[in-house]
Amino acid sequence: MKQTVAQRKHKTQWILLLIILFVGIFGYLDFRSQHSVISYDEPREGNAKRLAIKQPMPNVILPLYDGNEVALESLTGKPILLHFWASWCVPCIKELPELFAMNKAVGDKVHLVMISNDSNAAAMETFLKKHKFWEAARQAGIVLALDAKRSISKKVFQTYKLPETILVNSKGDMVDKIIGADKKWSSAIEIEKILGL
Amino acid sequence: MIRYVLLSLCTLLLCLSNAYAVNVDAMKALPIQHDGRVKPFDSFARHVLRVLSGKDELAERSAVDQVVRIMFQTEDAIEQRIVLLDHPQLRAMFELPKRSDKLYSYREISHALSAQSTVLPEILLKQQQQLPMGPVEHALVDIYEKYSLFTDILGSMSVLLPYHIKDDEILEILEISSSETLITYERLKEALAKQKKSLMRSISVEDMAGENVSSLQRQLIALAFSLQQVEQDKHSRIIRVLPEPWLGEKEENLRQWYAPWGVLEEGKGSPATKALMQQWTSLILAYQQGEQSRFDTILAEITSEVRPYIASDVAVRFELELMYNRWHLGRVTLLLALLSSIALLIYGLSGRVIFLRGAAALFYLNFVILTVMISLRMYILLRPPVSTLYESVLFVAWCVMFMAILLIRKGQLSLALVMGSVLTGLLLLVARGYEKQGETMQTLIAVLDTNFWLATHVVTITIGYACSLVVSLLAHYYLIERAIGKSGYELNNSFKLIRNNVNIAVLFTVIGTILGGVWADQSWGRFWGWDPKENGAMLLAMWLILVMHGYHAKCYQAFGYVAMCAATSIIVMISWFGVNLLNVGLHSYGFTDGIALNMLLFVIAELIFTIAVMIKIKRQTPVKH
Repeated sequence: MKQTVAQRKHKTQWILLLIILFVGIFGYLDFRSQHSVISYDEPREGNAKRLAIKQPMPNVILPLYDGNEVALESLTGKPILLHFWASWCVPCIKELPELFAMNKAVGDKVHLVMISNDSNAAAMETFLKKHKFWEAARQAGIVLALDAKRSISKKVFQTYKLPETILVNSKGDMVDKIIGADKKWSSAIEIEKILGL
Repeated sequence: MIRYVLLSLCTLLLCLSNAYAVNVDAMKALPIQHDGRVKPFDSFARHVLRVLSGKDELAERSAVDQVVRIMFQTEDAIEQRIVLLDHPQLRAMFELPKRSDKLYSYREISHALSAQSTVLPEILLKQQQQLPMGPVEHALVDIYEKYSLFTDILGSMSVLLPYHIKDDEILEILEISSSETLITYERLKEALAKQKKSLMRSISVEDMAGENVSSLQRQLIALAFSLQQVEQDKHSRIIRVLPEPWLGEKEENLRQWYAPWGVLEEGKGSPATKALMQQWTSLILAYQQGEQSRFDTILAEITSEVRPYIASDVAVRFELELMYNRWHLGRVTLLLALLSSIALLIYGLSGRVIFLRGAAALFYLNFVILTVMISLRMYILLRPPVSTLYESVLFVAWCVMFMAILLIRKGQLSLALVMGSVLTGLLLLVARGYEKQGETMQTLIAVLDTNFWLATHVVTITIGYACSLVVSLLAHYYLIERAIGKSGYELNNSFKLIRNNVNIAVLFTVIGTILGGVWADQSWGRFWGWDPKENGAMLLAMWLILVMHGYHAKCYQAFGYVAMCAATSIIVMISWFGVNLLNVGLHSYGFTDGIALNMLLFVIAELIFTIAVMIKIKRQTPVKH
């Protein structure tokens, strides 16, 4: 029996629908079978767009200038600034007053750990004394570490350029790395950020 | 040239006993940031292979396989014929042998370019300053860009490539334990630095010229030299597989990914990147030693390490892009259009309805698949599907198919299938040509990256192109009907269809052109600048207006009107593709080379057709509609 125009249209629409359904199901099954949709931890409080990726600070034993050692893990509980520098690094010299001013402002609420890449303690001490930072550093409780072989700076923290400063929050997670000496550490904004770590 | 030296030296040191035996297909799903977007390594590899050779696969190896060979600097990486040189004059200038596949190795191209070292800088400067260049100069720039891309990839992983030093004496001098398997650039540099002074002290220039240097010393010097060569790769940033660990206060979507050299040079290292880089070295080692199982394990570890750096919405698009690559939808749609056209042809010759139904079924399936393809692209790229020439051709093909469906609903099945299969097939073939030129999902330049104007101006003008092509096709159909002696109802019907579509085409092209002017005013500070693209759009709009009004004003009869409609395809080609050949003006982001000849052939074919039909119907009674 000859089909009417309406019946033909109806049939065509059904065929089209079936094709779409077929392709859709096939596509969905193929998609699911090959790769599952990965869901990630969504944001923590503060920034809705952040992924929750943590970088725990490596627990290294830092050699100090005076021959003693300190475990970085023992410093957690407060924000930590790991500052990599050397007396032969010109931008580092430029940055030191800012760091010391910041340290004075925050007091004992923050640990400032200065890891020198000088080849020996004497070079570091001579330099700090020359620029009148030596006493201030010791009195302010700044941790003066010496990484003469760069085994910690380079091999653990991957510091290839100086100065670099790694910000560590009070939970011991590294949250940022500042490369270069352009930061105004003693400004109110930066101090607030550091105290909020 | 420097690459030959480096690879020759590395060959002395690298263990290649089971190279190439590793299946690298799993690397397709590795995330990489390229062109500002996190995408599967498969997409990146396809782009590279298309740019270099114009193909998705080469010598029965996938794009990923080919690119990995270059990255990991396998022995045959620079010898493999992978670079397409499709300019006879340039080939002759390079003194390269003629080959049917027109493919040449990196070594051959490098050697040829070094012979052009005096003229090349001048030509590159011309390109930078957008001065007019001849075809040979364009071809030279094109081959240089391919060479640069290859070089960039070749050096991308050199900082992570493991050195295999077997000589115990050398290891002892360098204070490297024999159990250390992952000796990379950094480790070797550090070890050699300690030996540098003593080595320099013990060897004089005269010693080097004569025979007074021991084999051991020569090997150390060779090592030092190879490190110097490796350092030339430090500008390589193309393989961005290391996500930035230091986001600071930046938004997540601004997280950068770094190339291995980039991490070192830009000071972005962290314990996480160090671990990842060591894993990459292990991966390369497993590849070199032909250890499939270890390769797969390490690759899975690397992939799981970097996946957390991809936000969930990006991850979904990532997976869809993998699926898109896997399905080869571009090829599928072209194949279906071809099959549908063949079925239609057989119906036309035999009159058997089953072939007509088959053609219809294939057409509908093709429409669904093309819709899926365009939808996927829109979702993956988060922009309307008309951002590049490739996409606009796809979209025009889709519009033509949509109009074909509307025509089917009016009972014009055969004509609709000619539109939906033959015309669409031709458009998909053109799109395939653009696909072979490289990345089809590239990031847009700033002026294009405004979704509102993309969605309005570009979509409108593209629909206008589609309608204009449909007008031309319908006109061709009418002329063929006239030529074979048809008359009466069928001819009237065809004429009515043409007139209706001309009206729609005028509407979209005029509105699209005006919207383009408004966008230009916002982006470039002027409504109209007689830019070639703007002129092309205006040319098409004015042509269609001329056609429409000329018939109403009785400037020409039915045949003249239809002949002009048939010639609309020529105007569309000029407006859409021809203006890009000029490569000048603010719209010159769509430059395409090598299509001038194709366009000329198309115009000649159209003219021949029109003249042939004219001669055929000359003696017929004029038809009035």
